Amino acid sequence: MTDRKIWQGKDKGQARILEAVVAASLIFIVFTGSSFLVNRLDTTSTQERTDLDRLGYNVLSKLAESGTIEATIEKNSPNSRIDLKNFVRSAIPSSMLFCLNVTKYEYDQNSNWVLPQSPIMISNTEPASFTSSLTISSTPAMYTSRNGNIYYLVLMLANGKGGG
Amino acid sequence: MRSFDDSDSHRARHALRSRHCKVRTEVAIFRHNKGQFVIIIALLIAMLTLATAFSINEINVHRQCITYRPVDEFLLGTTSDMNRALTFGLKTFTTDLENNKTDQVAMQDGLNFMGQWNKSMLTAYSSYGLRINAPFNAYFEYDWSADTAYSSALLTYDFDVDSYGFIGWAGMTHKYVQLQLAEAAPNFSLNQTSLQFQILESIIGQTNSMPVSSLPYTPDPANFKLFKFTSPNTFIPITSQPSLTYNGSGNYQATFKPALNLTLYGLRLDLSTPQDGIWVSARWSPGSFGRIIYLFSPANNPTYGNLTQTLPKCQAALS
Repeated sequence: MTDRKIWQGKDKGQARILEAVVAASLIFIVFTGSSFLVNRLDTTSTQERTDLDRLGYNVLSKLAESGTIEATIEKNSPNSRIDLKNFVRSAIPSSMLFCLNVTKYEYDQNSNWVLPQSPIMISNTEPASFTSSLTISSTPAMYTSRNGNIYYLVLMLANGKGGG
Repeated sequence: MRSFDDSDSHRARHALRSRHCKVRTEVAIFRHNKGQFVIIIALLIAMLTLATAFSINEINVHRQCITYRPVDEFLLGTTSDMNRALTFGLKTFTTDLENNKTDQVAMQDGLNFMGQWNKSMLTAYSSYGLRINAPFNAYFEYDWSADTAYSSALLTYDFDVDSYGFIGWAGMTHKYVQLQLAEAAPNFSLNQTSLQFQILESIIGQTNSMPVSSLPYTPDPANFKLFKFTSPNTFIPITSQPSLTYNGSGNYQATFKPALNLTLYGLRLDLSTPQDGIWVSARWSPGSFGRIIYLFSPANNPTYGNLTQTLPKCQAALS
């Protein structure tokens, strides 16, 4: 008789409420866990890296096709580095950090490898600034100038906000 | 009897009440189960949501095939530089020829440069896991013996880029420059000669040539040389400064002094392309060689008949 009474009257209503609360809590917990799993992917960072890579290749391609290397580094004028820096700066958004390394491959008369000189580094920030950014892109390219010099270019890009 | 009846009816009533009670309990249990269904459905939704989220997570984290790889940019950039290197190799080759070096020396110089570029590329992209399926082969070729002359280079490649999973990247890149002498006419009243020519270049092949339209109107004598000749081995430089007129589609007219008697003299034009510095040389005699042969027949000059053989085509592979 006692059991029967449980499922009758206002006790029965309380049981329904209890079940609804349990179901709602379960769904809430699961959605919280799912959103954690999905957000953990950090897709924003991945997308940003992709964009930086593409931008890096575009800048290097523009650098190669425009003959800027011949007009700056190979001229060996006092302003050549400044001109090159201005070119890169004009090709990327102003808030972005960049560092361009240009290494010249050199060979002797017998086509034997000669130890390259220290690379030319052009940047709009201190190297330490790159460490504070979660997303850094490094884009390499080879460039053969019209004078037959072979260069290895590496362009590092990062978001200037310091975040990913 | 009566007590028997009473006891019977009491038992029957009790059985009836028991059955009624049982039915009511079953109804209550069913009603209670309706509440449990809510929890079961919630559990199902939870499982589906979790499975979906977990699958998305796994795909994004572990399936590398959907992560971005700049394959197009890498391949286009490398192919583009390959063509620049080949252009400089052809420039080296033709400059040597223009400076009267032998074919073997010119070819070796061109191949040396391509070898350096090859080494540089393998060093620069060593971290990309380049696997060479066939050695890089460079070919240089020229024919400067007629009124339509050309300088040409070809580079073939076949390798994989392991880090991008790009297998079987094979192909070739060309550099081709053609100079065609169209017509020459002396004007004795003005004491000048006009020579019409066309210059074309291509990075695909002979059939896809584009006109070179950037020759200066007053060409640098170091890059634009005119000769007159009576026999193929005696070229006399024309020292007057020519002026050029561009007629479109790579066609130019060069005007220079003096007026040449083209029944006596042949004309040779050597020029280097303004952007790339590739040399090409063509020679022209009015109408055909027959009219010159009348003056300098093969019988009188044995080397004349073998003109095309004295400038052989060259090709070689990179060592």
